Amino acid sequence: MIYILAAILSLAMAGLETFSYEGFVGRHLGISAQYMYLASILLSLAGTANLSPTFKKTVLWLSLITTAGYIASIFTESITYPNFIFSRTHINLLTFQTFLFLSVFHAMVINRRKFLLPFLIALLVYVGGEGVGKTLGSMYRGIRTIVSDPTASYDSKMDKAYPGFYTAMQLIKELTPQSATIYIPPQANPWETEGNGAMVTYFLYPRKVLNGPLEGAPKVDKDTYIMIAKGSWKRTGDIDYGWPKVTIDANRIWRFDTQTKILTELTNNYDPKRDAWDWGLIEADYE
Amino acid sequence: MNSLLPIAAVSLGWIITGYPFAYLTANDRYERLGLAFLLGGGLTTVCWFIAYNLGFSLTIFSYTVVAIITWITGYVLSHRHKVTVTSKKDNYQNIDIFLIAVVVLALLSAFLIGSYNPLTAWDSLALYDFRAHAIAIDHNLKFMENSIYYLSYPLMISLSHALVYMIGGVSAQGLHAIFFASLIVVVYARLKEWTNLRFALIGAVLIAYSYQLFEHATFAYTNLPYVTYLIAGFCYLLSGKFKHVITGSLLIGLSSWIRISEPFWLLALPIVIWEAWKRKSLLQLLPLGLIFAVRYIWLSYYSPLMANLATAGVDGEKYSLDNIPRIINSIPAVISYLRTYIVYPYHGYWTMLIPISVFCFQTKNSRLIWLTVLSILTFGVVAGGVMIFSGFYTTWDQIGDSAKRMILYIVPLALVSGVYALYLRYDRGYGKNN
Repeated sequence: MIYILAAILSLAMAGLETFSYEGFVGRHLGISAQYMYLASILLSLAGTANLSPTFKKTVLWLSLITTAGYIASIFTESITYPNFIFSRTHINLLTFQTFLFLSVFHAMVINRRKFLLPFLIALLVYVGGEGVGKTLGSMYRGIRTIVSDPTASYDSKMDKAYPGFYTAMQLIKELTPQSATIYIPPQANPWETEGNGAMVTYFLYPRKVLNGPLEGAPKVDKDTYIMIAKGSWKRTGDIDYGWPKVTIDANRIWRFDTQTKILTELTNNYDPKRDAWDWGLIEADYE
Repeated sequence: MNSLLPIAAVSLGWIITGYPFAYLTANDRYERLGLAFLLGGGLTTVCWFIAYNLGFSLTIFSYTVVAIITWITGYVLSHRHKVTVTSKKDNYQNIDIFLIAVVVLALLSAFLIGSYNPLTAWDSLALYDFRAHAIAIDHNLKFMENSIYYLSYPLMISLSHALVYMIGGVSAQGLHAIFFASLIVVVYARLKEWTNLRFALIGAVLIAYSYQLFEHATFAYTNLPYVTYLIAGFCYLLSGKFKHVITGSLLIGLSSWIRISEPFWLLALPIVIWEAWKRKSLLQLLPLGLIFAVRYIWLSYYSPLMANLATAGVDGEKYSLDNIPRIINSIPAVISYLRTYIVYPYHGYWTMLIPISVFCFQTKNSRLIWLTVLSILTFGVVAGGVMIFSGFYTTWDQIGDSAKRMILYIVPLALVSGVYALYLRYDRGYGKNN
């Protein structure tokens, strides 16, 4: 009997904390809920008295409903946003998972299973429930994206992932020979993507990619090109947008409109005051 | 989705080349397919790499020749060692069909999502997939021979991706869902042999719906393929027969062909030694050679290059006993790091060790004992490794997410252990009648 009381008490505490937060019981009632959970689990070793089949079945069904409810909550949270469930229902999913474990554990014990088997099954349900909910959410989100635009090309998908940057890379690839050296901005805010050598190399290989200096012109050689980049990241420091920051002698310069994928070619030198574009390219003049 | 055909072609090629080897080990036809994929992919890419070191370019032609030679080798071996197929027909009930359907649903979804989404994960772009593109363009590895960063991982995944690109694919990401499928098929088949159809399906469902693994099946990192080879390897090592020990050792060796820094391959050594001790035969230690051979193939290429490039540790630290005080001082930070990145993200799986350990004492089942020991040793190896790292690298605690991914294999290991323990304690004779 004492075990049944402990089980009910632990479930009640877990239930309270499910609708509030972990530590609620300790804060308001002065006893840590975790100790009660542990006590109820250990007291299950004492065995259960003869309980009515109806009670046993009810407890089992409650644990099944709890499992289904938990999976549904996790799934819903994973297809909306973090804290969605708490904000709408005041159910704390972390403590709900604890409640799930306890309900499955006690349901198995009450249905005449010895301590270890319920413990293992409850743990499998504990990890399995979270896994099923989150996996189903991941599946739903992924399939929803596919269904929204099933015939999207790889280019359009990359453009969505890296707006502006991906198209700029494709245009640079079209305009430059494979033996070219491409200077990119220094890897610093606000050029954290377009200044990232590894990232740019992925798209432009086998072209050689080098970071240029913040001030001053990069060293020019045959087939040298210099990226024009305003900076795709929000400015967080002292460095202003726009690179390169000095005039550069050029055979040609191109302005990229990454929305329409239109190039504008000009045959003047690069002037940062006049040519401060979002994206572009300079074919450096080398003699 | 214009990479589907290249991915299908590469997968089919791997299954064909790996099939004779899988035939030697597996009776179940689905298991053969899953195992063939893993062995075909691992063996052909290793042999392709060996061919490169012998002077051949990395082209589709050279790969095809290597694959044919690999297949012929497997065919000769399988013909010399006839396998008697003894698999019995399964009696599927409605619940079993439902469980199979949910697993297939998860795998199909992972494949569709991985194939549809572009490759955007950082390590894929900067390392694994970049190397693949470079290989597909240059047909050699010269681009990486002067870069510590590009040399930091072996080549299996990059070569796999390169194959897809060489035959016209745009994204090789969908291949990772097929690794996931192979993992599930192999684990299912092993569990079925150890338990029964129902428990095997429960294990398959739990692994298919573990979100950490599912998500890794939708992007192109090396962690999931590594976990696949490692877990498949352990499952075969613990399956009892010598042919399983050979296959398991080969798979463990091939896991090092994906990621070599992780020390978990060491956990295979005591199992192989124990199997040899059980049979009182030194010859049974030969499978250890397979593990070391695969590792040697990469290390013999990598080590001389690194010796030229690297002078000391990454942060300029020298490896010396002077770092021991720093290791000792780091212990509180290491404990906090382990709790945050190793224990907490997988706390449900680690907690399973408690009842499973007690079941080990109760059942005295050697397979369950080994599965439990593997989990405990895994934690020990990780804890020890992090402690040592803390002494030599000042940025040791800044790559927590990497540590979390490194320990990913505890998920299928714990689930296999849990389902197997459940069967040992719960079976009501379902397996005996099925």
